Amino acid sequence: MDEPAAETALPSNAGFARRSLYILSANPVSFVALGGFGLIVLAAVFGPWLAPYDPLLTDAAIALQAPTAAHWFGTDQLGRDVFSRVLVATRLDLTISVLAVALSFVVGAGIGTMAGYYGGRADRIASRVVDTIMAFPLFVLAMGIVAAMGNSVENIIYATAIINVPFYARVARAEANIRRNAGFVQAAKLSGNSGMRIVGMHLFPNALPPMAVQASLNLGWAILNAAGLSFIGLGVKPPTPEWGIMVAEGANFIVSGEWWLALFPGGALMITVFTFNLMGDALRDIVDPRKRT
Amino acid sequence: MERRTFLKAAGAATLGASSLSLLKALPASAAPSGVAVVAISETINSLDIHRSGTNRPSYQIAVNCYDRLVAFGTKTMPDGSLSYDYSKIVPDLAASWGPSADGKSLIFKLRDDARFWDGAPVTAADVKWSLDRAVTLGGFPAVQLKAGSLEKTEQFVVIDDLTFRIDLIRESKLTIPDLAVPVPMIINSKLALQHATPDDPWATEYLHRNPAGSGAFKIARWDPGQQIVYERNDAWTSGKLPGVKRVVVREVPSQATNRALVEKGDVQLAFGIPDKDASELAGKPGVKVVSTPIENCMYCIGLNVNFEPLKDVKVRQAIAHAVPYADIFKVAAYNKGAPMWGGPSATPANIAWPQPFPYDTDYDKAKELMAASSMPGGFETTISIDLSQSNWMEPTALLLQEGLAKIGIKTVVDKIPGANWRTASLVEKRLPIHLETFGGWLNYADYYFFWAYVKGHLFNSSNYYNAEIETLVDETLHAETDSPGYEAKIKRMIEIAFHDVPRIPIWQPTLNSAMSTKLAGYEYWFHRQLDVRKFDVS
Amino acid sequence: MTAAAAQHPLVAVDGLTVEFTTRDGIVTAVSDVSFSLAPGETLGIVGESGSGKSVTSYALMRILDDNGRVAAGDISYSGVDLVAADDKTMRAIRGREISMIFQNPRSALNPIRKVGDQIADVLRQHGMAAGVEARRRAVALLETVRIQQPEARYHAYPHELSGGMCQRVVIALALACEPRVLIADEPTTGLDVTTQKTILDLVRDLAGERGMSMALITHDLGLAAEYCDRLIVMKAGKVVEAASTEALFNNPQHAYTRALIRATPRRGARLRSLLPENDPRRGQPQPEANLRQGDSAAGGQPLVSVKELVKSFAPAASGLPFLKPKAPATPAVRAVDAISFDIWPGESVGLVGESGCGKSTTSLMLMRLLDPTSGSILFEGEDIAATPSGRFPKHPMRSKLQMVFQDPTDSLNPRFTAQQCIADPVARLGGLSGRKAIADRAAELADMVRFPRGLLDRFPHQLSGGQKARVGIARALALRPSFLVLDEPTAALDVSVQAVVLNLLADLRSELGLTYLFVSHDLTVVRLLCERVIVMRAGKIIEQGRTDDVMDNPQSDYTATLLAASPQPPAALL
Repeated sequence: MDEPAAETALPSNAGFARRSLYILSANPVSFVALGGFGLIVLAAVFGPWLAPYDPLLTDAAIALQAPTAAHWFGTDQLGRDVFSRVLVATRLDLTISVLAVALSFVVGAGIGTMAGYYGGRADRIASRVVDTIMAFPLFVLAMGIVAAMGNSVENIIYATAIINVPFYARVARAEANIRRNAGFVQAAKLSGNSGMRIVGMHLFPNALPPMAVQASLNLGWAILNAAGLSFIGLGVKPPTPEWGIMVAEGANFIVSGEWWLALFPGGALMITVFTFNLMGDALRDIVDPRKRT
Repeated sequence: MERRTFLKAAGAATLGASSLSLLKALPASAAPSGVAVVAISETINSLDIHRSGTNRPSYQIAVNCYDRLVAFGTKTMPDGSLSYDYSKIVPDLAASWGPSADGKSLIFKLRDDARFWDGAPVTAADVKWSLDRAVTLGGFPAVQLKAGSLEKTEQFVVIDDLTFRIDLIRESKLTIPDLAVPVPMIINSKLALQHATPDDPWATEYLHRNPAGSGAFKIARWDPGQQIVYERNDAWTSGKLPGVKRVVVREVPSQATNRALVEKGDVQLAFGIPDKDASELAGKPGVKVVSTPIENCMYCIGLNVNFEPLKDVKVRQAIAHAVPYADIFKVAAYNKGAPMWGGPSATPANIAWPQPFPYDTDYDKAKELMAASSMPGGFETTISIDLSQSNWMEPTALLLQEGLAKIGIKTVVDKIPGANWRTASLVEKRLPIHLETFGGWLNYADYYFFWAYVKGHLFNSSNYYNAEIETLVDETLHAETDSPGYEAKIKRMIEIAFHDVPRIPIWQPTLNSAMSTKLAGYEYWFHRQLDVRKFDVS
Repeated sequence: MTAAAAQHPLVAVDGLTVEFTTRDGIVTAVSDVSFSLAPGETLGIVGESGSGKSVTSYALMRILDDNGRVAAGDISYSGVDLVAADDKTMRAIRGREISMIFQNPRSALNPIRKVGDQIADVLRQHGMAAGVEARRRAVALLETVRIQQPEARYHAYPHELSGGMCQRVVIALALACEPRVLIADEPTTGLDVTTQKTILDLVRDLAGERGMSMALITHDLGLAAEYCDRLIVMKAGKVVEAASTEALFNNPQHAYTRALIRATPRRGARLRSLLPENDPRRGQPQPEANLRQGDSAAGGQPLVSVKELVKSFAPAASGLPFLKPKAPATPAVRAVDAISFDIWPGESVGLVGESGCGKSTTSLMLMRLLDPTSGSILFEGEDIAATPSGRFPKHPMRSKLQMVFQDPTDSLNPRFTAQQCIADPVARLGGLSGRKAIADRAAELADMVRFPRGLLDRFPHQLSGGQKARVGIARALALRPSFLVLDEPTAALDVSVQAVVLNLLADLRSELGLTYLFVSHDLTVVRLLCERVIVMRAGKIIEQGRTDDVMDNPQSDYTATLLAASPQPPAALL
């Protein structure tokens, strides 16, 4: 008298793409987020070709002009077209945030899952390391890395990634800890899985859903970090356009009435962070198998 | 990481932080009469100019709280504002002075009515202790006094309570003016010695926080990093009593906030504002802007000859032709100041200093020079700027970067934090292309060349060496301006500087301050720090 | 039940229909259910998972989830219409007139408040007592539910009490305001069988003393038979049969009721007779043990031989290394205390005991998932206890020792499809390589356990309990083990599914020549499947021997108590 499993909306477990599309289309908010994200990726990939002006080209004669038909977002203090700069900066900002978050995600989840599964000394050491990282202010760490390894965008990504590791490590550790004595873990041991295999193939995927939400929140924060660091000379060097630093410098001009220098990059930043946050829920739904039906 | 953090940070980072100090900087918009509120964007880190590590903004304490043997006079500028007069030396604590009979010393007669704040009379013993201190503690004060040939404690001799003698190592036109710069201030030695210890015989710990002077203002309170409050010394004898009883100097890091404060009337003076704000505030009601050209000062592009490609003079000249001068002047200086390019000839017509160098923006000429140089294919290097001065340095560097790119020189702009800038550019002298801002305190061309063109001297960030310049500087530094051959030697030095361009001047800057129309007595000084002694609020 | 009482039922449910709004539309959980509860009567509501029995009681108490509502029907209590009553009325009724106790006692108690305070709270809430009087009455209630030293226990926290004691506290809570109706929703699932008997006896006594009506919701027909006057049987939200206990068991009318009774393990039943009426396997002979080398009498080597196995858990080291007290504050706990037994090839041995007896620890050690403190485990003559558990996955014997786990939900990786769960051991140790070979083997295993191939790409949350159990069995068989430990494999399954799975396990043993160690707390099930049985208590073996012998003539009192406590339905006639 086995009852058949409830009829599901999907006839079978379709591939990843189709399933993702199904989940995203089921919820209008996710759909908007998906659309926004698509636009951002488009801007990142095609930005340099779509920009009407060279983002680095200065023209002192037309400096600090308000938005006009010729320059949609106006010009900055060196006469550069703000719209082109905002558009081209998408690539850099997206790269920095995605890479930094991806790095911290992988490393943090790895450390956390191992610490949660093995427990004992490995757990204690990993937890203390993570605690130490958490106590480090980002700017101190970034300066240290830059001093040791040189001033480049790559090193800023490392610094941001390291700072973010504790969040993922703690979540992954908690998830692994709950499950380390679960039946399926014991069954995996019986099946001949080594400890590392269990950590990587069995426990890690189960920790993904809560971390996916965390990742989306972190993306926005990573961009803001990069902005703060480039403002003090670390990482992104002028004249490379980057939203955060355009906002920070543009803020100085608000008092004198040139509002467009900060508003447009700030708007782009806000929309991106907002889109990422909306996508957090959608990401979690995609990644959690229980949300499929 | 959370939305809250995002809202706080994005778009309002600097504005947010400075708004906090804006809140603190809000006394009533109409200040009670007799009080002036000033906003400065830098921070004071010590009240003792002789102490090592004291930064330049702290020099204003020496200016306002201490007196010296002599002082500079005052002149009125064409726009009606006040400026120091480098050509007039007036009495300060010394009522009169003159050479000794054998001409090898200077005798100073101190005034008999000068008192320190605690009532003790100012004596020659105090003068000797103070000058000994400046020379012995070393660092910048000793170097500055050395420029005036005041080098050893043996030179300073007490004759009696009111008579003081300085034995000269050499005759120099710079000695007396050097006694009027902020450094040789006269300290209440008896009071200081009460706080001296065997480890600290010069009472540096005490004087760091507690000035012991005779000057026009006492310190009512000092909140490091926030504000300093001056209180008038009603027993001041060295000049006319200031018109204000108290001056509150608030440290507001954000230039934008300073501008807003003075526009709204929350402060009576925003000291040292950027060119952009100065040019925009000029017409506003209730606000007057004073822009004084800074004597003996130029904003230059420094080319470090230790760096291989820059050793070749043709490369340096090519660079001098590839600088987009007019654009930089417009965008970085907002056309405030005096242009230093486009001079008519390779030989100077007179010894006016600073004067425009004979270079124009001419990319063809630049490319020709590059082709004929040792680096025809161009090269790669770094343009370094000071983060704390990026409001004009960054646009300058970016435009320069563009110009250099046109002649095959690829550059990367490197921002160095303010705390490290001095060490990197002046002490280690390791920056290939950088921006340099030296302004000589004593207004003579030879003084400038002494500091900026002689090998190993502090402001020669280019590591430049020229034997002829070294000789000429030696010969002119201490000579009087009307001595024979002086003019010809100065012209020759300028000619060499024109040709060799280890430093490419762009413009002569102005010191801008915006103030309420009710504030009178703002005076410009070569040291570019705040002097409140002539203030009067109506 | 008197005729007068029948005419004035205390609770009357008429045509109740409950609907839930879900993402996939409206789901009808209960459809047109009618029953009544007379004063002093105990009604049993029996059904399998998904039958709607709990939802009915929630609807009665008006504690449905937000997305549920009573779509049709009436519920009346003593004349009050419960469906239309407002919140204030319901708050007055709940706890004071109608009380409810739930399955998991610990989750019903607030973990950070003392149990005595929680009882006092209920009294205060309903205005029955205040201040010191409330405390006194709370202590009196603890005594009523037969908790020893009630004054001391008043100050205990839930985590300091055993499961059974927590359930007693919950009963005390429920009875605090002397309600007239008590609804018990699976109150003893998860408790030991002796505790179960004690609790239900207690409730029956209290109900009798106070003239309280009771509705006992359960899936266990045996329990229902022993404690209920009348029964209603629910299936898929409907009532299929309602009758007095005696009538129901003597003459079940509905086919479902008959199948349910048939599937319930009981003394004297055979494995095959548990199966549904129309199942072809009913006719097949009882699967016999495939004793390849004979039993002990015939000589030969045991497959598994456990000698003086000990597992003790040291208390956590406290203090700094150089400041440890001379003697530890609490002595080490011996979960398994020098036990020895043998298992011959082809045998099916039952390991029985209550919670805390050490049977789970023993099976974990046998599987080498846990290291013994001392003692040896000989498998095919080799001491596998010598290899630490961390290194055992690489041991050549690994594939021969496998386990089927208790909770199918917990024992399947939620992110693996059924196929991946089954294929994992094959990929690791199965000696096959290549996706196709592994997939074929997985399909083969699925067939072996009669798991439909079409469901292989489903995730665990998309499978039913029985299907999940089959996946677990297929996974255990993947490496062709010779020895299988089955840790309560059917405890979480419906009784009808359990019948099928037990038969499957018996068939597999016979087909594949497996040896079983069947760990369970349910003696009746053990009797069906195992030739020998070992009874454990507090880490020691109390008794072992042939199942029939032990069950019919228990040597120890403890075994006798266990046997007496197992609820039995009246002997089936089918």
